[in-house]
Amino acid sequence: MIKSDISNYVISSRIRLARNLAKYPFPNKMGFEDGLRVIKEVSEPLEKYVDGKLIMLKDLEPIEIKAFTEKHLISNALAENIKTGGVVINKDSTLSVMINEEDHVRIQVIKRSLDLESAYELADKVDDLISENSEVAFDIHLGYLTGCPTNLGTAMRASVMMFLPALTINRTINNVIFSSSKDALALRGVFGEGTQAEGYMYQLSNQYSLGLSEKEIINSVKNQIYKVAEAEEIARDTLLNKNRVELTDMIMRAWGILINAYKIDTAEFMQNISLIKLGAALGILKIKNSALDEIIIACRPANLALRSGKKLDAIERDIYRAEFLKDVLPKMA
Amino acid sequence: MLCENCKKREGIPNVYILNGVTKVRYLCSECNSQIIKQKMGTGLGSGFLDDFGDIFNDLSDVFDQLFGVERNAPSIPSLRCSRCGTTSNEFLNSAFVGCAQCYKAFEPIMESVIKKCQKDNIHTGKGPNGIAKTYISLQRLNAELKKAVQDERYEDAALIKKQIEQLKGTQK
Repeated sequence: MIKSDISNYVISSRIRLARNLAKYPFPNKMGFEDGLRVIKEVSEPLEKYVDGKLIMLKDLEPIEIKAFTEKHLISNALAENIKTGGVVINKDSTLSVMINEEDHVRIQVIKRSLDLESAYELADKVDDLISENSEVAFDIHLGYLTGCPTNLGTAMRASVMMFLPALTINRTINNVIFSSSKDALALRGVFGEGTQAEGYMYQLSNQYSLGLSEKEIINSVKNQIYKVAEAEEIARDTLLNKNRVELTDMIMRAWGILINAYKIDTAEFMQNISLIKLGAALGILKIKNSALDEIIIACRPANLALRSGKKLDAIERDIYRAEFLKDVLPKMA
Repeated sequence: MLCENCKKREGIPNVYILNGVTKVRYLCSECNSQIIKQKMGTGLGSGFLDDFGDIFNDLSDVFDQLFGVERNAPSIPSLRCSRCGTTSNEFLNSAFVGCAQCYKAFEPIMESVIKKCQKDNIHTGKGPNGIAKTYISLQRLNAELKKAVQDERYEDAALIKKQIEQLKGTQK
């Protein structure tokens, strides 16, 4: 059992349900007209229910699409479907319903900390609404029918974003990755466009969607989260006991860079903000980790460009990032 | 299923999603940890996912892993979905079906595909609008019963049997 609160290890929880409308071919085989029909059929009842407007990708600037992906509100697969891709997002951005992604409908709910149950509850309600209005592709044996058989059955992915600095630093993350794959769960790095586990952030999710109920999937992911959190807690204790002085120095230096730099690129920013997050998690800095997570999103390239309100080249963006950090970070400490 | 590496011990599916692509490989625990160790070396810092990606570059393309056996087997009939026109070959190459009916059209190959990427081939979760909720519950209980008998948990099995009978009773 872990001694401290689970939110010291978990950033957010996400439930994703995939659904297809029975009467249309799936998006990879669907024509433009059918694509628009699916948009209309799915979005109309949804807009009323979630009090959010349908956003069509064709109406967005490329930078706005990128900013949505950085915020995890839309997937890369949806971002590629400019012609018929659409999304309905609720007011507090906890729910996004992607239309014409890999499947006709991808319902996604993101909640802070470890809260798969309430995320599922909302996703389930939206799912009910969709199947009240449209015939959803379903088979009594195979469950919900999806574009790729890896998503059949519940068509559900339950993922949890974890913050695992100590396990990364002491390199035991290897074992964690291994033990979770044994349980048919996957753990992978979150940021860095697939090249780096930047920010010590990892995503743990179920791999099987058929043969287990939604509840069983959520429970197995949750169980694993607690195991990983326990390992991280032990690793943090050890790290702090053995290297308190060096660690504190590293973290304070990172703070110094972030609030003093004249320009800072994404990689250097991620490297240093990760240390700040570690400092916050270890109690060396009195800062809320959730506030830091928001800064991380705000400092991703497209979100930063949108915030500035003008077109920035790479250097201008790095200068703007440094200015932004100088403004927001001191207020937090 | 045997481990793809040593072909001796029982392999378990190691599934990862990288850049939105699902990669599946059946490995036993020994081979899996060996490969991870080899590939990751001692450092885990910046190049972590690079190394990780490497593991999979060694293994031929993901869907070869997923569906390769079916594609190479000579006895596989060439199938075509009458509704959307997707062929079995297209499906095995892309891992995507074209419509709901494809699952019926490709039934002869679907079972082994599902076996490779899923825990079971019987849905035990939610259904739309309460469709056949009882049926799904029955499927779930039957699956649990099978498992209980396999594990020789006979007391549990008896309990589950009772539940099944109750559920069947409410159907009449």
